[in-house]
Order: sequence, then structure tokens, then C-alpha cells
Amino acid sequence: MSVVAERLTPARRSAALTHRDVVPLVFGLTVPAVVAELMILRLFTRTAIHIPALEFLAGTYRVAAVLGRFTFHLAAVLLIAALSVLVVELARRVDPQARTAAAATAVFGVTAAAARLELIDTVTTTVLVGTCVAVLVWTAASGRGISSVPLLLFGAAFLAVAAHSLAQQVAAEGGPTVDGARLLYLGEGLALAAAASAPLIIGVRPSRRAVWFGAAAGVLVAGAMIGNGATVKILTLWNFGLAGYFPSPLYGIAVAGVVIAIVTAYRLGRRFDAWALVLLFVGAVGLHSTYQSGLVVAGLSLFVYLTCTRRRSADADETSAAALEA
Amino acid sequence: MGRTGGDTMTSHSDVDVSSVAGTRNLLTRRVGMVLVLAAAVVAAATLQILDANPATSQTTGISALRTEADLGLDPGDGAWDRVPETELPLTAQQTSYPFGGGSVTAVTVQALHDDESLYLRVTWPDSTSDVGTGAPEAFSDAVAVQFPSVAAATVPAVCMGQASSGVNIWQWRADSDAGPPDTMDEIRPNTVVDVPETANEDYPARVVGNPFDAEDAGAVQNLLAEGFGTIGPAEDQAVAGHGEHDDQGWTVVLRRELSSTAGGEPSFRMGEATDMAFAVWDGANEERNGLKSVSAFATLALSNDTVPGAGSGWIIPLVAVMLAAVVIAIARGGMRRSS
Repeated sequence: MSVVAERLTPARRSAALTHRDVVPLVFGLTVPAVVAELMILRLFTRTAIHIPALEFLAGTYRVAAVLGRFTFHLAAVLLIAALSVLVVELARRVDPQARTAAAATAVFGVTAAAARLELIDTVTTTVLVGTCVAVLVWTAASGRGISSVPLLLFGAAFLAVAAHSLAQQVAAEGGPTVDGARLLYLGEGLALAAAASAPLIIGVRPSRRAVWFGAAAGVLVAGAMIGNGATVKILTLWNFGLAGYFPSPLYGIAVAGVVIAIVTAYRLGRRFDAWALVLLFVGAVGLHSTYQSGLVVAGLSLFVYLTCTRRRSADADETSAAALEA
Repeated sequence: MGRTGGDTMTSHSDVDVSSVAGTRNLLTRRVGMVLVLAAAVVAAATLQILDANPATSQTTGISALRTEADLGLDPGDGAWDRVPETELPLTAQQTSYPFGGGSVTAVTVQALHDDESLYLRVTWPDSTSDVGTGAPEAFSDAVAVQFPSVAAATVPAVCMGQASSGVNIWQWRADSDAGPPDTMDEIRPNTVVDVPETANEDYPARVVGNPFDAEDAGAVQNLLAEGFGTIGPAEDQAVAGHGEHDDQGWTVVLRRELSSTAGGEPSFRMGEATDMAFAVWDGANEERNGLKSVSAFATLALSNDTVPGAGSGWIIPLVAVMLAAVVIAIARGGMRRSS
């Protein structure tokens, strides 16, 4: 049996819940809620306006809109719980990587709370959120080898888009006006590269089924962009911070990469990797709200949690092997 | 494909789910999951009922600074000179037919308040002043600002809102501001008019309640919407505005009292932020209705601060960068100590 599996899954020694049970328990609820919020609120209620017979479905649409707002509130509550659990779990480790990630996640939490209470302004929020994400990307990527590439690309994309937002906000505060349009192009290109290279995070050759799933999703998205680019692009801009600067097939490849990585992770039983990927790419690179930035922070922190847990398990394996040999 | 390295327990041979301990453990975890979910559902329902959003918008922020100046609707009032400007990029409306617009690429927004009213000054480049709509082929320049119906609530869809999350739109039109032409000759020279202009009943648009044709219609229409095709006039038309055109383009000032008791119209309170988006129509480009240039949402917040002196705008970014440096230093220090 894999020791990694033992360390990541709930303890089976007693019927009482232990601290190791809490991470899968909370994330097992958070990730479906986040996906439901994306599907109902951010996608359905904003595309249903194009249904030709919507006037006959007005009641249904209204119910879906209320449900969408509820899924947002539910996902936000669970996200706060998930971030809190990760801070505690990471802070318990002696591993410097884990403690750095715990500190960055905690700083993000304090920043989001202070921004909500309007104790700090948008410029300060953007700088602190960008810094937390940079520290988490650096922490999550270190020691990962080639599988760090998608994380580094994602981090660079996030920071490029954040720099653009910051430039606008500084101008609003009376600073100089900077033409940051190139930062948006750069950020979007890096985000697409991060998504396309996402299977590297799993580090295993994807199964044929995963490739089929990914290809189908990629063709669907590229086809939708070619067929009705306006609607799809406004949705990608609102939801993921991607304005649709590049040719449609590239977006199909990016979606295919993410889907392949998630399906591969699930088929390997590595649901933590799958959850982290979902959170990272649903949060995406657009600085829309502290909720979406929180998804990115949760995804990156979960990657750090995984890395540290696997390293500890590997150390334990070596110790056991040495003891057996002795 | 094998499942080696996975983090689920289902594939491991040493998991005896039929054992008493395993069953109790599974039960305990399921009870835990149900309890966490129940607590989250209650918390989410409370937030929904209170219309409270735990997250904060990270979009471009616009501060409505306090002024003690006796501010009117004059776009050239000197009180605006040192108010910070925010440039919001615009794009062509590409969400609902008819697609179009895009001729204006940005608006510059300033905001002030005097504890009683909110003032917005919007500036955009436009080489032509299109103020007449008397002819079928003539279209007016216009600008609109859109707020969620409940300030600081969940952000609605930026294009006209959505069900359960409506928007309040203030639309200033150059033709309304200019007023109707005095004579038909101004629109169609040498036209003979043989219809007597007498009572209101002779104006069908006025009779059916078209706010544009109302006798007391001002330059700004106060509108409500909950999605495409649902826009209509608000009960009270409490928004005032005035615009002036020069060789650079239009400058328009909009004003409304901070508080509102009318349904679907937000109240602006100190310490609360709300989202705000803009749309611009260029009449010379035949833009009207959905043919317009639109912005994404920005965030408007009322501030107790007064208009800053020259150069003070750098303080906040400087403090923010210093805070970031402190975070990085703490993280590096933590890693060194742990190592």
C-alpha cells in the first residue's frame, strides 16, 4: 500500500475525527460548491438571456438566479473554512515550505477581511494579494522539477494581470497613467500556456480516456468560440479574466490541458491534485473579487500541503526501510 | 491505469470496510461532513437573506471625495480640477444583438459628494456634438452609468443586470439636455406643419408614459432593468445632469441624492462600496440602444477624505509596496529559521 495514500487520507485508527480528516472533508464540500457556483451563477444565468423563448421560462430563470446566488454564498462560506483549515494544517508542520504557505494564506485571509471592512484600499489589496500569490507559487513550485512549469506560468500570468489592475488603480489615486494593455496580452498568453501544460503537474502519462475527455472539452470550447465568439469571450473575460485576444483553437488546447490533468488525477485516485487544479483554474487570473483570488490561494496552498505531506511520507518510508535493514 | 500513489482508500487491499471500526469511522466522517455542510448552508442562507457579500470586488476603485464647494451641474466647475481621475476602458457591446459601438475607447470618471448628493463627472472624446434627434437618421450622443439596485450587493451581470439582481441606470442624453427644437424649421427647413399643437393627448408618446417625452423630462432618465429587454423608467426621476461639448469631447455631470427610498435604486452610504459601470453612445456613428461602448464594473466608494493636494496620490501605493516587502521579508525569515 502506498504510504502517500495513508498520510493523505483520513485516519482509520479510531472512529473519532482527527485533524487529518478535516482537509478532505472541507475540500470535498468546497470544490463541488465552487463548481456549482461557476456553472449556475457565472455561466447559466449570464447565458440564459440568449435563450429565444426565455419569456416563457422567466419563472425557471428567476429560480436559477436565486439558486446561483445561494451557491455563491455557500461556496464563499466553505472557502473561508477551507482556507482556515489549510492555515492550521500547514502551520502545524515544521517544514519551512508549509509554514511559509501558512503565513501567505493567513496574510491573504487578513487582507480579504480588511478589504471587506474597507480598512484598506484597492491598491493595498491588489499589492498584498499579488504578493501572497507570488509567495505561494514560489513555495508550491519549489522542489517540483518539471511539474512546477504550469504553476510558474500561472503565477506569472496572475502577476501580469494584477500589475495591469494595479497600474489602473494607481492612476485612479492620482499617480501617473500607464498603458498596461501589453500586460493583459502577456497575462492571457501565460495563462493559456499554464492551462495547456497543466498535465505536467500530475507527472504521469495521461490515459487514453483522459485525452478523449480533454479533446472533447477542447473542441467544444474552440467550436463555441468560433461559432459565437462574442458570448464566449465575454464569459471568459468576466469569469477567468481572459479577453479572447488569441485564436480560438488556443483556448481549446488550454481547456483540453486542464481537463486532461483533472481527469488523470481523478483516475489515479489523486483527488487532492484534482481539487487543487479545479480551484486554481476556476479562480483564474482575473482580479475580479477576493472570492476568486481566494480560490487561487486555496488551490496553491493545497499544492503546498500535498508536496509537504508526500515529502513527509517519503521520509517516513526511508526511516522504516532503514529500521528494517538494521 | 494503476492507482498507485492515489490518496483514496477504496483501492487498498488492507481496508476492511466490513469491519466494525471501519464502518464506525465511515459513519463518523459522514456525520462530520453532514454537520459541516449544514453549518455552511445555514451561514450561506443567512448571507443571502441579509444580502451580504463576504467577498470584496478587486476591480478599479473610484473614491467619491467629500467637497464643501457649492457644486452644481456645471461640468467646468473648478472644484473638479484636483479630483483624481479614473480612466475606464470601453469595448463594443458584444453580448446581445444588435452588436456594435466601440468608437469610444475610454471614459474618464471623477466623483464627489457633499454629504447630501453624489456627483459624477464623466469625460470622453467625441469630435462631433450630436444633439438633435428630430430626423430618423439622427442619433444623440449619450452616456449612462449603471449601479446594482442594492448597493454593495452581489454583482449582477454587467449588461442590464439579471433576475433577482437588477440594476439602476442613469442615462444622460445630449438631445434631452439641448431640449426640443423651437421650430420644425430647425430640423426640416421649409416643412409645412398643419397639425395643431394643443393638449397632451396629441402626443401619443407622452400619453403612453414614455419618459423621454414627459413634460417634466430632464436631461437624465432614471431607469431600472433586470436583464435584456426589461428596461423601463423608475418611479421617480430624481437624477439631474448637464453636459457640455468642446473640441476635446463631452464632459457631463450627473447628480442624485445619496439616499433613496425608491425601489430598485441604491442608497450610497459612507463606508459602503458599490459597483458601477458606464456606457457611451456616439450619435455620429449611428449608435443607439445596444450599439454602444461599455465598460466593465468599477467600484465606487464614498470617502470622508477631501480633495487631495498635488502629489499626495503616491502615498497609498508607496505604503502598499512597503507592506508587500514586509510580507516577503517575514516569509523569507520564517523559511530561514525553519531551515
